[in-house]
Amino acid sequence: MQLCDLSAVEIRDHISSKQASALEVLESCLQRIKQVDGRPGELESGPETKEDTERVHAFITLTEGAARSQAEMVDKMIANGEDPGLLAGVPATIKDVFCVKDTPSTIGSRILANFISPYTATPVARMRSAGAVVLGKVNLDEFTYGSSTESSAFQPSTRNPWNTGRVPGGSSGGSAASIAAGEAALSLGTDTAGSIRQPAAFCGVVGLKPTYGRVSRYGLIAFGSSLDCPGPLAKNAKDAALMLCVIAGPDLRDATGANVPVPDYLELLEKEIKGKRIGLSPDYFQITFPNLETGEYTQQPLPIEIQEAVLRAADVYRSLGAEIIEDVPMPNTRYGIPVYFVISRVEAASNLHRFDGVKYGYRTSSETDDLKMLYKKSRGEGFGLQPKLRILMGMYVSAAQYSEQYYQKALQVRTLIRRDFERAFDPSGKYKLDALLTPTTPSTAFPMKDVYGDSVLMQYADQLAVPANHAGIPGISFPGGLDADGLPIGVQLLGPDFTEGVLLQLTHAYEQATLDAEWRTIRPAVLKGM
Amino acid sequence: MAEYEAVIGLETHIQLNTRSKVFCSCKADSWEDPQNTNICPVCTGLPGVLPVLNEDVVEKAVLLAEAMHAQVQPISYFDRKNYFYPDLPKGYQITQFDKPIAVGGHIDLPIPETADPEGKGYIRNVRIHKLHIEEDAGKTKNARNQRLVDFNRCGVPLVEMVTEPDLRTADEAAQYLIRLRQLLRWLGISEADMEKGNLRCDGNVSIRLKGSEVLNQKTEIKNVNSIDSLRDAIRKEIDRQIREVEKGNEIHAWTLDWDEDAGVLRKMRSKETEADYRYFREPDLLPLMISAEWKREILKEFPERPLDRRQRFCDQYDLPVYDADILTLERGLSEYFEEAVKEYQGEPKKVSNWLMNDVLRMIKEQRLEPRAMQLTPAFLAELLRLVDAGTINITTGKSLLQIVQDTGKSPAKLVEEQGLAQVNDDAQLGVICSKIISEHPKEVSAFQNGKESLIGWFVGQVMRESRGKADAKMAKDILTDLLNK
Amino acid sequence: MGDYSIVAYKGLLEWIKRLRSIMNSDILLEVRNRGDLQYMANLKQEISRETFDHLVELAALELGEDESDYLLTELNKQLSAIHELEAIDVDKDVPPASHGVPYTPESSPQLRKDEWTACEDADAIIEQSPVVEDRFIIVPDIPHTTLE
Repeated sequence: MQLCDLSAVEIRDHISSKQASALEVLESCLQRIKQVDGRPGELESGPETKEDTERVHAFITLTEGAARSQAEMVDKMIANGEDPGLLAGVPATIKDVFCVKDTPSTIGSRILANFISPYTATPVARMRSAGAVVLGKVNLDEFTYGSSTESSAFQPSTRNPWNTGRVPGGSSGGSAASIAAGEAALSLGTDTAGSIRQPAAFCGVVGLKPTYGRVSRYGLIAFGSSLDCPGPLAKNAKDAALMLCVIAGPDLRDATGANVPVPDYLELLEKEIKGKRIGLSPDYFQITFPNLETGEYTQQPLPIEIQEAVLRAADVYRSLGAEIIEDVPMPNTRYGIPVYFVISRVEAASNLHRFDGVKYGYRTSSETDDLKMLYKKSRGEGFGLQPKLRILMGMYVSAAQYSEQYYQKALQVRTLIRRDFERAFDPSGKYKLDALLTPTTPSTAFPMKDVYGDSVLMQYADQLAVPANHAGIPGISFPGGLDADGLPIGVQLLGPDFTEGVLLQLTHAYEQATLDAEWRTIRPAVLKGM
Repeated sequence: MAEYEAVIGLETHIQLNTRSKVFCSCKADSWEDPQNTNICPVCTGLPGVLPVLNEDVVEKAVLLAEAMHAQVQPISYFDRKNYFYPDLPKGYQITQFDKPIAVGGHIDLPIPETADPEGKGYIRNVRIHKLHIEEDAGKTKNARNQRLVDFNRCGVPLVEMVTEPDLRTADEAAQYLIRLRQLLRWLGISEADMEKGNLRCDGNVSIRLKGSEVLNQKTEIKNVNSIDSLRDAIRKEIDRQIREVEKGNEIHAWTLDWDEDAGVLRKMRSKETEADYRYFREPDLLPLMISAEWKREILKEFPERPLDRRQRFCDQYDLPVYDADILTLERGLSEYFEEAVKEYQGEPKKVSNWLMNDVLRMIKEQRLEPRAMQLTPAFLAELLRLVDAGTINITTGKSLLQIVQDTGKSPAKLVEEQGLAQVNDDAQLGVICSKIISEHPKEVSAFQNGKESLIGWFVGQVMRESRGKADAKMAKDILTDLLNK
Repeated sequence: MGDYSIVAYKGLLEWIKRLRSIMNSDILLEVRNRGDLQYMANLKQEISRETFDHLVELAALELGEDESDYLLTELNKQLSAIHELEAIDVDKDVPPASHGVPYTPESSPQLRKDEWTACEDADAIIEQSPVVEDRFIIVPDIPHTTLE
């Protein structure tokens, strides 16, 4: 077993006990990257080659030199008997939506392609202080707009290590792929409408969206300010718990960071799950969408394999002493996407106002003596189609004459979505759930280029994940098997506010109970022979 | 010819004198700093930054709201006002749109006789519409065909206060600004210097037939940098509107830019009024909650309002309005006055006279801080008592003011040290008088021959001889006596 | 089992193909009046080319021809999905939620203390600007005619 394929906890323990050095671990990761990643995403990438289609392309910027210095420092501290921190020597990747000082922080867009951030995002700084070795910035959908990473301006975009003809999911596609391919042990991603959980499901790794406000957003280039959540992607629940211990907690620079104490997530992991009440909801076993002619809703059941993976997980929990409560109604789930269309676009359009070619990032090279033209050309040339789409929609639904009709209404429906969860989790209510068990996505990883361009279809793929973003509650996706094509199926747990500890505990319990499952012996195709 | 009245509302932006900016920890005051040095990722709108509200901004806004009798809201919200402009780095301004920190309020403006066309003076009640907190934008200036952008001022805390259209003349508008400036300095929440831009004012002006209740189309006046300019600009605009209406023309919703050098108003192409700002709740900030407890804490040492104190000085100390006005112009001075009166325990008017003239002159010329003077209220009172008792004469008293201020010694001590006590000893004075008389025979005979006005000259000579210490009245009596012998 | 999953997945794609064909035809969406909400007199809720161009202008974007076509089509598709919101009966008392998670006085972070901390690296911020001269950021002037 290669060093780079160990879990984060194992790597940290190896290094702390001097079984391996941080530098050796780093070398192992760099070797793996060289073998499977192919060329990093770039702006003028030229035509796609055959080799491109067989590689992962998780990275935009590999910061090898900096990583080496960090690894050396960890080793020096170990040698001196000092403690480098909880993540001592653990190799990690950072979704390129986070500002990291002196590093290109591109958010996958031409408009920030040359932006070298003068400061570092809080979650990244915390990881660094805990001794993590940051390998570099990984690819994402441009401005996190998308569910496949294909919209990145930095091509070739990331491919799924399980089958490089498939998407890794998005927008944290680079993050999930880098874990699945063994290039790193931890990754910092963001989840606005499932952007951690969906790629985690597609790539067969664990992805946690913490409660909104659990992890500081300072340094996260904003998309949907009331929805964005930074969170960990990792190989298993224990690693995710380890990372969450480090990044969670209030931050003086984030006024929406909840002032709630951070428990020891690792300690909580091993607790028994006997007596835990886990719910199943029929509303999460289908995709509900409107017939535009009649206004009535149609339901499309999810693929049987995905349903069965979830039901199997329920069986595992039952066998461990948990109670499974069926038929929990979550009637407002179907409105998650339309509400998301409105709220996220309004926030995005406003958040993208600052990209004007004046202070940083891309400025048009056309000569112009008119400020308005400078804005239009810089933004027109710098933004890809997906950002433009969101800006225009955001401006439309927040315009004075439509604001009441769309935006205010959406905010009210958001309350209804939240109430579904409150009802389900209410300790004095009918269901008293500790968690809701659902599928993460309505399909497994779809082929590259199949869906991209169809913004509505792409968005509806997030229907099962987005309600958690509206409600602010935490959610985790973990691998629950493979489908007939050998692609990973993700299973999701949603819980009440600030119960990340319980979600991790339940995930860990499932992992321990299925350690010997046959599907766990199958590795991503890209790792064949390694 | 029809008679018109003007309908004026004022919108003021007040820069608070907190230490740091409203949403980040940069300095609030960077008037002296070179361009783009007082900046950080937050106030320059870098990707990924977040605003964090300054507690002191809220407290100062609450003080102002209370001073204007406005209702502080227990919950208020921040909103984004979206538009493109180079001095606005985020492409939106964080402000409060529909649920501001305070609503309502009023001020009873005393309009002095000089500002009253009828020469009598009156009170104008001005209602306040609302107060809210917002962030300032940066500065731009023109150079050749380009704009030079400086972000130092981005994020400086502002309170915007909007009046109802209750003002009726340009003079009233000027009085509002004068009283507002006084109030802001009184509360210690802003330097309120219009020339430095920490008090800015836009005026909304319309006219209507006298006696009408209708609100007609208004124009907006911007870019006035002083109270006088505001008065001028409003006067000119009222005149213009009257002219237009008399001609039968319509008044359009123009935005007018005041050109200070030329002294005229120019129509601006109002780019911003065409914009839809698409206000929505700022998701990066939580609602602002001001509990009853916090409000109590903030208002614990809320001072007496300047106009209230002015009235009280008239009532309690029997002072004319003129005196009370000067003494309450500045809070420190008014406190000094009261302290001095307490110590003096005599006629307050006496204290007022000394304070309004000699002491105030000293304060102004030497830029003294009344609270920090070496000439303390107690010392002033002591000085007055010495003059009352005849220990020193008024001239000596006045010269002592500066000496006490310079040395910090008590007047009594100085009188003793320098032997400044008034010479009112019969014998001593008699000696000096005799001396003067013997030294000036010519004047003596002139006096005895009828030039009685020379007595004043003799007294002057005695004063000189005694180095100002002689009791003038007594000297005069003795001299008269001697000369008439 | 495998067949079924393929069938189900294809079902989703079929739905989308249907959706696409519906979108390409002209639909006048019926809008039901609801209580005190006022609806536009023009019931054609699609974004027109004219509205689109106005939005593009407001958003300070310059678009190529192909881009415009794609964007306008996608916008109208998304709008149809958004129209679902209109059909939802929401009680007037349901409060709008700016954040999903409720903040209590205990969980809300405190306001910032009024202290000055100089930025570590103001130079690095200015250096990010494409055109800087004498520490000012330079932009072209705004066309601003002051007429009398």
